[in-house]
Amino acid sequence: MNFPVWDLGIAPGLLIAIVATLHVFVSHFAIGTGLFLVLTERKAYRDDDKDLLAFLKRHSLIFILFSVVFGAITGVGIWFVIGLINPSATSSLIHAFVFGWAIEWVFFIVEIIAGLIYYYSWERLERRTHLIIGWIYFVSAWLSLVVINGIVTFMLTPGGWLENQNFWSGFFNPTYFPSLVSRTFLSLALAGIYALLTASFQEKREFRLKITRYAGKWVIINLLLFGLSLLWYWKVFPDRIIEAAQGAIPITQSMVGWVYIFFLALILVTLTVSILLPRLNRAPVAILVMLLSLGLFGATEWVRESLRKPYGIYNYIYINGIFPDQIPEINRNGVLLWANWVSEEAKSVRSPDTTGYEIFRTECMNCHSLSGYMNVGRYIEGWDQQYLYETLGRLDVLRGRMPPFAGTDEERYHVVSYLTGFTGEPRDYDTGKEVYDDRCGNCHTIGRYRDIIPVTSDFSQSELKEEIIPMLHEMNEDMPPFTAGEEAAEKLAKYLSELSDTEGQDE
Amino acid sequence: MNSIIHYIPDLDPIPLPAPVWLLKFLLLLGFVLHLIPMNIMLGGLILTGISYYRKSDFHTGLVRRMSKMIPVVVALTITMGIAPLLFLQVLYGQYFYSSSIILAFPWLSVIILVMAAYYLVYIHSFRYKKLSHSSKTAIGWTAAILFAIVGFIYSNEMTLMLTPEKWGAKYFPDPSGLTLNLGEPTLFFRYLHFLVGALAVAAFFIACVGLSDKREKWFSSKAIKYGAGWFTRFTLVQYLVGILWLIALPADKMMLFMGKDIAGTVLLFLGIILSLGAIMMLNKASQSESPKTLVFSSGIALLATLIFMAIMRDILRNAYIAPHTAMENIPSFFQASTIIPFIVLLLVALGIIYWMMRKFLTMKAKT
Repeated sequence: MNFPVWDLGIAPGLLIAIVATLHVFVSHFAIGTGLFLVLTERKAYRDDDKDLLAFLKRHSLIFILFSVVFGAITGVGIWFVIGLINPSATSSLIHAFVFGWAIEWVFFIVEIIAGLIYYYSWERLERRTHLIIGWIYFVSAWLSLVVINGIVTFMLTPGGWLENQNFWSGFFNPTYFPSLVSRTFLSLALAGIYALLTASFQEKREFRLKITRYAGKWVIINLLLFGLSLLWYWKVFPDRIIEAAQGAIPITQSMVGWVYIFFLALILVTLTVSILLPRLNRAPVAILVMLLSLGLFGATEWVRESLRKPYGIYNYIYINGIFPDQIPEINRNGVLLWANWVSEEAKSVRSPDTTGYEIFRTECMNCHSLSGYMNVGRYIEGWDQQYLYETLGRLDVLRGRMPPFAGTDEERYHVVSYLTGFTGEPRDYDTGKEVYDDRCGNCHTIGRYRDIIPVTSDFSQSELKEEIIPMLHEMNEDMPPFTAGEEAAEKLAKYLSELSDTEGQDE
Repeated sequence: MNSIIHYIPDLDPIPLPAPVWLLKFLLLLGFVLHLIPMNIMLGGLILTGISYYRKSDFHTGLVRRMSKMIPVVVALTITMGIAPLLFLQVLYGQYFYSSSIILAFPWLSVIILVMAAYYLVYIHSFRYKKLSHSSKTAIGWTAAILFAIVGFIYSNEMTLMLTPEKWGAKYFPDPSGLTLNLGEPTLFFRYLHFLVGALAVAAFFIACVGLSDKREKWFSSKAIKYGAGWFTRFTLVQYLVGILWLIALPADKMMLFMGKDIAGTVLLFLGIILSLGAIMMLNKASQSESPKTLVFSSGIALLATLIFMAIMRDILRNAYIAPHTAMENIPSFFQASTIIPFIVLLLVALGIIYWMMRKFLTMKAKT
């Protein structure tokens, strides 16, 4: 709110998701591979296995190119991106944890230097010294996770920090340990997945099979441990995750599904191509395994990120940079007065295209764009002005978890006028289900979160049409009035009463 | 309400976890530690690029050596760049985030440009024997140009953050982040000052490379001569560029270094004297049979010059920001429970790095 909003043309969250997923994927793999390298190197010395040593040397080259370059720069990249998209929350994090980051930076320097020396000194340092440097690499890489994990988990569960603003209360927050443990196992599993890939390029058949089996065991064991620790992670906030998974946050709901799918697929495919039929491990298969793990990673990160909605830091600052306790003041005095980054023209002329757009930019464009993913037109297609206005006043009760609209009624009206440009033609509903999806489904689900059936099942079709649907906002202020017209009300009433009947029969 | 101040975001409600002086000290320390590898990287790539067009054994040897070292120097530049960026954000976040959002696309492109250039220097280094002369020339120059563009984007950001009076006029007509700060009168000379400085420091670095090369005596003395010669030329050009930058500054800012601010004036004077000393010592070293002490003393003088210039840059930044934010009044406290672990861990890390470097530098040659 204090900062300008970057109107970048696509959903900003998508940009964060792409950069962040690529970074965490590579950085976790860089941690796990540290341990994989030293343990395997020790094994190679013990068994006097020259092939294995040659393999490790090659393995560490690609590892350096991935972790030191791609991992490091995308890490800075996340920082650039969140500063551009969520400057207020980034500033909060930096103020709360600047020395946490400074400590992470210390580990990062050691990690980078140890990693480079480890690669450049193969066969040139004493074996023992080379192993020690490998260990220094792994430990410092893991310690940088130990630090950044405190800050990442803080955003979702700031814990005692909200009361005392104490660094350590925020750092060792309720999800700190489950997250650390699950990330550690996932990074070890990723190390095995990467080894499957480099193994697949080995030309000697026997050696390829041997490495494949060895790496496969790494993956399976660590993935199972990762799965278990994920359950522990979820136990910390059972209500929030269950509600979200039941439809309170649709994106979480679908991402939880993807976590299951990717997890099972990854276990099954890895088991098949590494332990059961290791001869199948050729480059395309290994790349498939890697893509599945990227999918698993992306989905789990997305679940975590989406659970935080509508906050940038849970219960502290909304995703659009407004602090919750500022809302009453903004509602009273107006967002135009309060925001730094609205133009003089927007304040004086008061037209939809400037005033409406600039308020929309200030409060909504942190997540929404005008085209593509999260484009606002998709959600309001065919809506009439009144419904838009009423819904805008109830954003914080909708499914999907949005911050409330902050501003005066007049300002809300300006945004509505602006958004009317994106609603298109008024809708004709073919079926009652369409009416339900458009008018009820934004808050209710069928049979799950805010189940609509217990609410409607006591009423007949005509009662629904004549008495309930026209009175929604009088029964519960959180519900907007029904503005879609007689015909749509009729279809909706029919649909809802049929729904109650079928659900009743199922029981 | 003053319309300039109107756009500057409020202070973050969380107080600074350390006194301003400490954060500033860390910012300046980190900046100098970033500046040195950055100069060697950018200047080194340009000097290497020029050396491609010279066919002598010396230039070939120089290119080969630089090509091996540059990837590590790039890693150091990036790693050392993180700390100053962190302390900059905690101290000047109101300014820094605002201007980076106004310049969002170029600012974000830094990530892609750095990554591309980084991979290029690795390709250059790892495929050195396999690549043709012309491919190496092309790869080296592309990396140099990409890094030079990154520097230019930084100059845009670092100047725009100091001039909030320009923000509104840049942002409101086009909030898509597709702009630069090209209208800034000091931009060109400021950038040129960094570029020429990078060339001078890289030339100095080449003299050091010569000094540490014990195996090939002929290369060693040539490198010191080459380094001294170019260090001298670039530093002389730098005096001119520095004066032009000074003149391009608004009069009240220029006067900071011409008597209005004692520290600024003294530092400028000392910087000129010390850099002249560095030039003389390095030239003397290039004619000496045992140049070690002279190169070392020259290096100390150069380092001191860089530190003074970094402090002057901070004085200049403060002068821009002072009318809007009184830095000394920003609420802060001393978060001992994190500052002390940071310092202790930093010392432990330096010890570990020292041990690793000693092992690395004394390891046996490739078999």
